[in-house]
Amino acid sequence: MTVNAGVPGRPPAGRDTIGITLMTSADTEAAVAMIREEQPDARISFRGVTYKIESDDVLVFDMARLGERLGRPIDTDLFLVNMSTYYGRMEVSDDLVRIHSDIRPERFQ
Amino acid sequence: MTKKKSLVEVHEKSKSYDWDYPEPDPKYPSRFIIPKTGKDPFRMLVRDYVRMEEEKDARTYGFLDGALRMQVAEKTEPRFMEALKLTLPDLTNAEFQAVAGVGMIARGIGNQELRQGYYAQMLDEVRHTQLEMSLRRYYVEHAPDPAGWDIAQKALYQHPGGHVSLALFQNFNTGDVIDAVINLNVVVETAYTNILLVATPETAVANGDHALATTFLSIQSDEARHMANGYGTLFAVLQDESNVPLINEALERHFWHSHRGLDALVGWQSEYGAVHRPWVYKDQWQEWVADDFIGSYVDKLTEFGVEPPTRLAKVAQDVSWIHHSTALALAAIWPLNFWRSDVMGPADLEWFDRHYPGWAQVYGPFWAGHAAMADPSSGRLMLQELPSLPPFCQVCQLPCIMPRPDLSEIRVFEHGGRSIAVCSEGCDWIFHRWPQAYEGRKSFWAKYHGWDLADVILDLGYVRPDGRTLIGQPSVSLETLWTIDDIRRIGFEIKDPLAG
Repeated sequence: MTVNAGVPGRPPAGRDTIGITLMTSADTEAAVAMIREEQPDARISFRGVTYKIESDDVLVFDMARLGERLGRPIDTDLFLVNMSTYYGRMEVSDDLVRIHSDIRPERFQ
Repeated sequence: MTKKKSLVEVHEKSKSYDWDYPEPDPKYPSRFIIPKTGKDPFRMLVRDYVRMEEEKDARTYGFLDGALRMQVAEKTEPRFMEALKLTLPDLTNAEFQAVAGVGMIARGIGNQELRQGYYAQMLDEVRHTQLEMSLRRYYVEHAPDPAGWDIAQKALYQHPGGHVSLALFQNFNTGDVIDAVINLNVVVETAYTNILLVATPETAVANGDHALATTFLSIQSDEARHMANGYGTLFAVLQDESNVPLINEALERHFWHSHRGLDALVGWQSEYGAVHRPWVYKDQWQEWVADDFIGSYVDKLTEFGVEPPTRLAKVAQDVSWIHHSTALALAAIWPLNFWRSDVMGPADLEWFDRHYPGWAQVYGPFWAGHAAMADPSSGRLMLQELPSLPPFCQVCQLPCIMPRPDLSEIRVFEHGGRSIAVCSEGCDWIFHRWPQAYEGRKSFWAKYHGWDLADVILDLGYVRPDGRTLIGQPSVSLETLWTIDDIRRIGFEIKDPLAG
């Protein structure tokens, strides 16, 4: 959904779309492949130097499964080295990076 | 083998190690009620921060070595490299102001978890300043025309374009800490840095500059945590309903001012500082500001009383034009610049008019004149064709020809015994709501009122080592460069348009 910002007095609509932008890298290529398989509804666009991955619900990056694809261990710290930006509500926990569409996910209540 | 400790458990335990500051009074009083609660989305610990940032630096500085081998600076489009001489020190000013600003914010936030995020941010802003200086060192040593890179930071602070940067970013460290968070973390970092630091790398690569792309993308990866700091703080202060009107007022002020300062600069860099343009600025604004920031964030805060900026529609309209007007102004004052401007050729003119219908009618004649007068043998400057110099807005410091020279919304009024100009209703509101923050700034034209243009250039120090050739030039393709003697022969006098 595109926000029609140019309309004076438009009612706030609130999009559910959230996303992450990852710099082009070997780690990112594996993450993109993982999302394509595990979250087929996610939309992925390649911007030359980055990939933008978007969803209308939640994006989940599991480090254990990502490491299996890469053939080497990876944790949230190293994964986040590849992240350039995101939008939505970020939550970093044990070996998981999640981005929520909810404006106030459970952890923040 | 030792089992890795749970991030969640260690983070929870670390929060118990809290302390009270010996001097609880922040530098500036806050009107907000600041609760002691708050959550850091990234659960940032020092052990993880150091490891993550070390890896980021290894990759970024490692790429600069690669850039040397690939001769990136030598192969970058000159037009792109020249525009960076304004854009990069402008950004470095923002980073440096943020170092002090975040230190101030951390002092004023009583919540240990949020403070941790801000301490990491303060280190990040130092990192960004250093990354940009390293990139600029690379440019000054390897760019085919380094003139201007060597003096860029000092030159910025003297230049009208630099005053836009000072006006916008000094708010990071001057005033109410929660207002500073809404300015820096919520508006600038969540909405606007994406176009500069994520989208512009695509333009950089299209114009040959992979070094800038790598550096900017790495900088933005830290900004992502800053956005989270803003989110965490916003939800902390939203716990007290009395903060809501203050949040909305701050959002209104900083969204408007950031639009002025950043849409103008980044739009100019990405469209006028480029030969190859992979995207259109207004489309990037739609994606990153309207859709992602407003739609997926601010609109969803309305259930808590937060309101999208009332001037959002006006911003959406002006985004199509203010960077074109900024480009016209910067090219008109090319002798006063510390970088080379460029002629816009037929392919550029066609691109602009195709993507911004009506552009040719408004801006075409200027660029035709600029091209005709590019060679020193013309003996003319576009400055001489203007009926008068436009005043600079007392709030945002853009020239008062916004959003377009034919649709200027300038207002001039008396304040404190002198004439003040603002570019728009938005800046007018900001000035009258917070006059103390803006009334003291002096005008570039006022400083040099009555001076010969040649003497202004010499006072600014914008001449090359031979003492005669100007750093600023109207084109990157000239065989004969303009000298101070060419300017002296013209005899153009600076006249402050607001002088009585």
